[in-house]
Amino acid sequence: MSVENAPVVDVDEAAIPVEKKMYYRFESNDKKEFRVSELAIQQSETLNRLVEAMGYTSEDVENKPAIAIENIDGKTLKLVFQWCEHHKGEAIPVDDGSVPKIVEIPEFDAKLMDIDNGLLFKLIWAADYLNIVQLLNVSCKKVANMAQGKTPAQLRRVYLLPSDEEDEAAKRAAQEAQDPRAREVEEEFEERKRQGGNSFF
Amino acid sequence: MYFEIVLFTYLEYFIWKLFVLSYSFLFGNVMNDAPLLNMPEVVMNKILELSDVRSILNFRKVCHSLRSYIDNIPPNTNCISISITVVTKKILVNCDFSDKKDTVITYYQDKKGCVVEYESNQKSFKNEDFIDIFANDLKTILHFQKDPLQRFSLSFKYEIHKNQVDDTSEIQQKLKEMLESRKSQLPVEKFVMNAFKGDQIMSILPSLNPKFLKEIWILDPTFWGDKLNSLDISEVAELNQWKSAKNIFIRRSVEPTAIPLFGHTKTAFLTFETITMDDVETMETTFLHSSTLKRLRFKYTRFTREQRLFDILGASFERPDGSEKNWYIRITKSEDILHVMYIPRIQNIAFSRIELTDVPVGAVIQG
Repeated sequence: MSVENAPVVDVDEAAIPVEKKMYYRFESNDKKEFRVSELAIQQSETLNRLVEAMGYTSEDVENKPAIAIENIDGKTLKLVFQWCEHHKGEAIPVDDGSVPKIVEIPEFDAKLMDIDNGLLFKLIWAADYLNIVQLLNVSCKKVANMAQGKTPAQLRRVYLLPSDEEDEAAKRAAQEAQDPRAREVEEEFEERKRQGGNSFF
Repeated sequence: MYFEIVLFTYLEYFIWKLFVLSYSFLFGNVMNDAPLLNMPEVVMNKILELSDVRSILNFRKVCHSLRSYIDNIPPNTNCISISITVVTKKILVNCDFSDKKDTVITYYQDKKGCVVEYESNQKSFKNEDFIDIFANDLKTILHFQKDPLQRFSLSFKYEIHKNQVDDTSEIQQKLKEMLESRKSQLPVEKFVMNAFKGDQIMSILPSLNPKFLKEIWILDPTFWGDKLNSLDISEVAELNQWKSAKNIFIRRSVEPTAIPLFGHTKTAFLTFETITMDDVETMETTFLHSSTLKRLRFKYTRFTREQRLFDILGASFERPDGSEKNWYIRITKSEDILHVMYIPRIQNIAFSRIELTDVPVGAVIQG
């Protein structure tokens, strides 16, 4: 799909004529385009640094191609930018790698994250990738809350986690995929054992 | 030129970020389809540290990948206090956190195996022993602990109707083994335990890190504190943990010969069945010879020939309600005053080192 024909999702359209601030254009990996205010972008350390480095003028924003975010799909990016627009101007927690002791999930965020688990994990991944500290905090808190009171079997269902057996099988498959000779070597070893050979060599 | 350099730097940043994420995908747990297992380490840590402790214990039981992740990078649960209560065939673990609501996990045995209760949830582990499950869970909880625990308490409940103590030796032994299997001694600031015998204390105390231990509290497992022989603390007092504790509070009766074992503390409380004036004098000598003791207090059940105390100390300064007698004695080669307080209602005598300005108006200073 060309950029011209791509659907444009205005996250905060009503604000455009009022604020004379720049609205940057971003494109998801499935060619969905978004216009996001300069203030909202500040919530994302990664994007903020990027636009600062680009130094676009208002004309550049309109005339140059939308900034491509290759790793995130439109559905996820829409949630990300909705969150950024809602929380624009708010203080950004310092990202010192520590985990905040208390994380409250505001009502807006709770509604925004009322989504299926697959999309929630994509949102977390995007929040980490784009360094949106507070979005990462609330989305991780949501995942942590989902685990409350669940048995290991329930956790497996909710988070699509493997059992010990499945986990082992997946690891074996991955090891074999890494080294196709591994299975042959293993089989040969087994054969030699059956033949009564004590030493592999 | 500057613009190009900055742009290049950020392009590098993006490439690096992509590399990190790709690495995580390729060499992490991506062989599984579970999105949780494919999360970068920083995200996983955040999710786990924001989870309650029971959830983390359950995550560990889901699969190898999560178990090894949690064991290798233990999340800090910000636990400040752990209390273990042992009642008849039941163990309760109460964890207090600085940032989350308290958690109580109960373990007991039923016909099929072990039952674990947490809030309104109940989980059965078929053919498992409740003491093993408890010890494993506790080991994991303690493994998460990064800062010293402010309080670690162990309480064996006394079944008064049976007029006998339940056999808790198996629990005690498993706890001992679990604590000894740790790579390092458990950092605890305040250790509280009710104990029938010295070996119960010896099963736990040596596994605590003396560097962090400030207080030791040994309580009486019976409500009225009767029918128990004196607690032998001679072995316990040999431990570095004992020697480094600044405050020791013993509510179980000990023999008066144990008095000098408290000379290194800052504050101490002892309990005796029977004392004589000789014991009180030993107490005073221990107190005055100690360079650290600020307050030494004891409780007794019987004071043989109590009148001798008043004969020796002379006239006392009494409170208007007559609830206590006080004597103030100048300490040789010191500016401080020895304050002896006698409270007959609760059968307590206390020695304190106070400043001259703290002596009440009207009180006589002897010596």
